Amino acid sequence: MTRCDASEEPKDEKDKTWFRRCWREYDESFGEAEASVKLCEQLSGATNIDVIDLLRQSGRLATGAIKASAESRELLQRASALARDAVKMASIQASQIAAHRASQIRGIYGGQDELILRELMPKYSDEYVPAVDYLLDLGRRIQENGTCCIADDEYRLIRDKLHSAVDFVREYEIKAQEIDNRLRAERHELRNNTWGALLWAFAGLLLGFALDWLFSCITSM
Amino acid sequence: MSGEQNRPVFITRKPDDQFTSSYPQVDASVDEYIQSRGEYPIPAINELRYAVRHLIDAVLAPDKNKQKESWERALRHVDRARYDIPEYECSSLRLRVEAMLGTDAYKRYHHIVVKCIPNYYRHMIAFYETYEELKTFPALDKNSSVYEQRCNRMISTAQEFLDDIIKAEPLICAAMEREDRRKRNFKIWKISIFIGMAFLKLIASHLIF
Repeated sequence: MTRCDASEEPKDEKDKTWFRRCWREYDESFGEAEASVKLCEQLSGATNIDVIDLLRQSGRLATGAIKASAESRELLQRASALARDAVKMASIQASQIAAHRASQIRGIYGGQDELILRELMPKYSDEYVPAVDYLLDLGRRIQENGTCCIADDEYRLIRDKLHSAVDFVREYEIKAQEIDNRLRAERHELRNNTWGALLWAFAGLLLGFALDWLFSCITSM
Repeated sequence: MSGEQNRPVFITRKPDDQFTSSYPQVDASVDEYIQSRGEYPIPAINELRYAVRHLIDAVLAPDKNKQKESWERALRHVDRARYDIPEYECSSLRLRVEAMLGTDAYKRYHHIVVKCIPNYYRHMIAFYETYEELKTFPALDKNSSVYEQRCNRMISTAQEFLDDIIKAEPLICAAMEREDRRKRNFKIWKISIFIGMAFLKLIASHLIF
């Protein structure tokens, strides 16, 4: 979609096609930002104040665009730009929350236990792990250089990775019980095996003593 | 003819006109709140966000009916945001008062706090009375001047109480310190009396036998 602030300008103040396209673009950005706000709320339970305030400010401009016909073009363009900024801000914040939550989950199942995650989640190795690693690396980059280091076209990639990280968190929440059961069963089996091995070793030792005694009896006869 | 002339004339404004005139007012109130209180009235901001969502829906609506419906929804959210601001202020002030009075030190030295804050009980009664009034207010009537008045009363009551608490803070701290010192001194006195009495007993028994 061509951006309404870019190459093409409206023919006149009543160029309905141009305005409609601009409103559609605004609608798309606004919807995306709202979805990210909801995602943040679901993941962390907290409202992303900066983003919702940015959306409010964009709403003020959009209301002005309806009211004032002479300046509506400029106001609508500014509203759209603010909504786009809100999308970027919301995407980054949501991605960081999701990455944090995902890395917490991975932290629980370190070492051998991670094999269960790989086994029960088909997308774990190919999709979830790279996405979480990418988002964690992004967080480090932002901490070092701020958000200015992120190129405009990278946001699409961030959103894709964000969706993967969120899928991972959701899939984990669905399968948590199953994973825990498997883990418990494996630990139980391991414990049983250890006790079994000890028992066999003890039995072997007893057999050794018995044989030794038997041989000594035979040789003394 | 005269009857025709006396009949009241209702001017019904179009919902989009109503929206474009009331949204900036509420939006300005939110800005004012942020500037004066230094915090974001989240429920009101969220309501304005929902209003903008319906505004976009109204602009892009395929037919007149959908458009009208969206405008009305947007207006409802703006109205909700209007009374969400004082409501949020009330709850924020209430939490601040309760947090200040709920600290461990204030609970431990309640008798001092009561003495140092002027009209403590009067403040407390007014505070909870107005809070109760707001809590039991019918949800459907909230978009009215009565509710706004009650919110304003709660705000002024809580603000007065908070101001008195803040003003009395140095006095309360000094009184707490004095009380601590008094308790410490009393402990020393008790030990000294104990040792003194033992000593007296020793002298007395020495003198008698």
